[in-house]
Amino acid sequence: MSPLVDHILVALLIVGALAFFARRFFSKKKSCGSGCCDVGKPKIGR
Amino acid sequence: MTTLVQQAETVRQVAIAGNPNCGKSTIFNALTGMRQKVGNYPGVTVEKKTGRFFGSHGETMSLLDLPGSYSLQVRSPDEAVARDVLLGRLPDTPRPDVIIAVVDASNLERNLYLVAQLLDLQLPVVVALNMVDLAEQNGCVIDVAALREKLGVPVIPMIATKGVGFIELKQALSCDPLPKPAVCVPMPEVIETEARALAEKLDISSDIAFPEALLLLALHDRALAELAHEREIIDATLAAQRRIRDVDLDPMSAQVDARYAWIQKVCHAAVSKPGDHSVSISDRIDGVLTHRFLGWAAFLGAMALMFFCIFTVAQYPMDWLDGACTGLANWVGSKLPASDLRSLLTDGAIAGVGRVVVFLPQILILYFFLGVLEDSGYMARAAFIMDRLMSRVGLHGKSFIPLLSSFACAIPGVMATRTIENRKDRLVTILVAPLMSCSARLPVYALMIAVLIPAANALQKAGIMLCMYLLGIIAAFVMAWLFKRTLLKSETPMLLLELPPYRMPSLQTVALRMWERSGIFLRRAGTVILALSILLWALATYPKPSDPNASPADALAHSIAGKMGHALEPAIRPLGFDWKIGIGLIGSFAAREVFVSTMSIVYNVESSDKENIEPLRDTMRNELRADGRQVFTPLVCIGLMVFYVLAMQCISTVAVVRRETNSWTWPLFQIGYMTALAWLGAFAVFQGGRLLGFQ
Repeated sequence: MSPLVDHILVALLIVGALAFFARRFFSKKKSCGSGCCDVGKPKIGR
Repeated sequence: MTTLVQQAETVRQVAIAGNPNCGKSTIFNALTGMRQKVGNYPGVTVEKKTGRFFGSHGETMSLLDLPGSYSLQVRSPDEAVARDVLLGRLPDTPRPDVIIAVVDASNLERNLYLVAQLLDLQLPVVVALNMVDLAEQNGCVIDVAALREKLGVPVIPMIATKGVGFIELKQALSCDPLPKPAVCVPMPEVIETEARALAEKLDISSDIAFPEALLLLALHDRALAELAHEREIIDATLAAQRRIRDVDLDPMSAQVDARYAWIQKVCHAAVSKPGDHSVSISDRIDGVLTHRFLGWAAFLGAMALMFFCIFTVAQYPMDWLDGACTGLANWVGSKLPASDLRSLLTDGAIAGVGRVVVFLPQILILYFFLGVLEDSGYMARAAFIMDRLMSRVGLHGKSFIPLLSSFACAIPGVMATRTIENRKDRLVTILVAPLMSCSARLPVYALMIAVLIPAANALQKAGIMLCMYLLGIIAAFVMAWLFKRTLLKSETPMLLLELPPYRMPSLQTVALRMWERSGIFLRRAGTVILALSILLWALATYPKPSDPNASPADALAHSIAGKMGHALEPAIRPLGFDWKIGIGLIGSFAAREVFVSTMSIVYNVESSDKENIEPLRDTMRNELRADGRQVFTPLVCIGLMVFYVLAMQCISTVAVVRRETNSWTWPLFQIGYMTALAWLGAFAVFQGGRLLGFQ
């Protein structure tokens, strides 16, 4: 494998990991993933 | 059009009311099948379940499953909704035409209290006497005819789980016209008179004026002041309460006493218990499991057994998984030439994810035990013995379930605090819930115990693990005590707890839960931890030193992660931690188990022998400081575990606390106090241990 391909693949994996977190951060999710977010009682608000 | 309107008008509105866990939902599901809809009551997020079913003559009926309640004198938002529907207070929900009062036959006296109040509502009531089989098993014989006569309403014996009694129930509901209750619970004369007088002042339907007046009389001053009623009504109520007190009666307890006296008479006439004086097996077991001292011994014994199994039973599948991960890393390493890509795949992705996945069997055993304990009915007993301690530190009894859930994960734990009505009690619980050792800490503890005492037997390892879990519980209680006396002062209400009978745990339920949790764990390993491992590898690899012949250790020190670790080192040096542990601490702020991945990446990247990857435990044990001293001494290992017990190393929990408290103040305060606590804990272990002559 040429060093260029090696560098491109490494860069793609790193960018992919960053994109994964960026998508999680910016997406408006209804659930936190724990599976119980929709069961609800009032939040503590002022 | 006319026909449609007529049809809509003739749909009978049926509501199911009853105590929690009496089988309401089973009856609702059996009647409606798939014809049900779940929504929320407007203004509150209490679940509203409605459905449709056909009566015995084929007529359509609408069914509403009310939240479980013990009484119409409400204690929670759920009970308030049930009361408001029954009294026709909710504009969008019609007052029911008939109530199915579901009663647990094996616990008749307590369940009849709500029925006694329902009879006052002047609505037709059909009593569904559920779980008659369980009552029979307990040696309780119920004379249904006598019960029907005493209650003055139809009583249908049922076993909802087996489909018994539904035909008779539908027949009772299809009666036209539906008879109103023939019996009313007699109240003391003064209460009766005052309630009638107050009812006349209320500007509502005469059907509900009397029960409304009884409820008003039972309210205390503060609750009255919060009502939306006119001042005149509030004053009239207060005056009526004074007159009742003048004859040495309490407006609330006099009503309760009158209802229970009536229930006693009903039960005396309709229920016989031949073996009444014998102690049931459940009671005998409770004699031990809820005993002052034996109860604690049993609780600690159960936890010790759980950790013992975590270390013994899980060892074999863990070894297989570890072997598979190492084999995969070696295979990938042999197929690729020495390059950054190979290092990323073997030292980053496979090492990072693999070292966490290895702990799956231990986490599954943890969930197996939690599931068995919960399904057998033991958890309610654990709540009972813990309540003695919890009430002393000012924690609400309802805090137990959120705290218990936090042993699995703090996120459902924090969300489970929604059942706590008092804002301050709820905040205290949220603030201390992450101190309970969650399953993400398990890999960290297991790794540090393996580094600390590799040759120890499973019992010794379980002992150390148990100490860490106990430390989390103690820290949570101490902090709750502190918060309740400083920031969040409030009275602690008492705990009302129902102890369900012991039963054989359903293996299907437990297995389903384990399956679900393993799915979540593996998804997390395959997404978040994989992405984090790749980023951590990049941080531990780049930028590379200008000297191509630099040693792997120098290259790591030159990387961004190395620089971050070095920057953190002055703050953690008093704890005995070096800069590489610092990298682990930074990485694991995202999630605690990432500490294991980070350590794996840091030591793999640094390792010069890429062909034979040795177990992480051995690498860490052999790690030396610049002066030749061992890095992971016993004090450092224990200090690290203590740090992880007390630190808020979980970004997801921070996000959930932010959402639940609706502000950044509390999550930031939580991060601050927990990090300070963790630092002080690790400092005390390391420096205190050194002062005592330990290493």
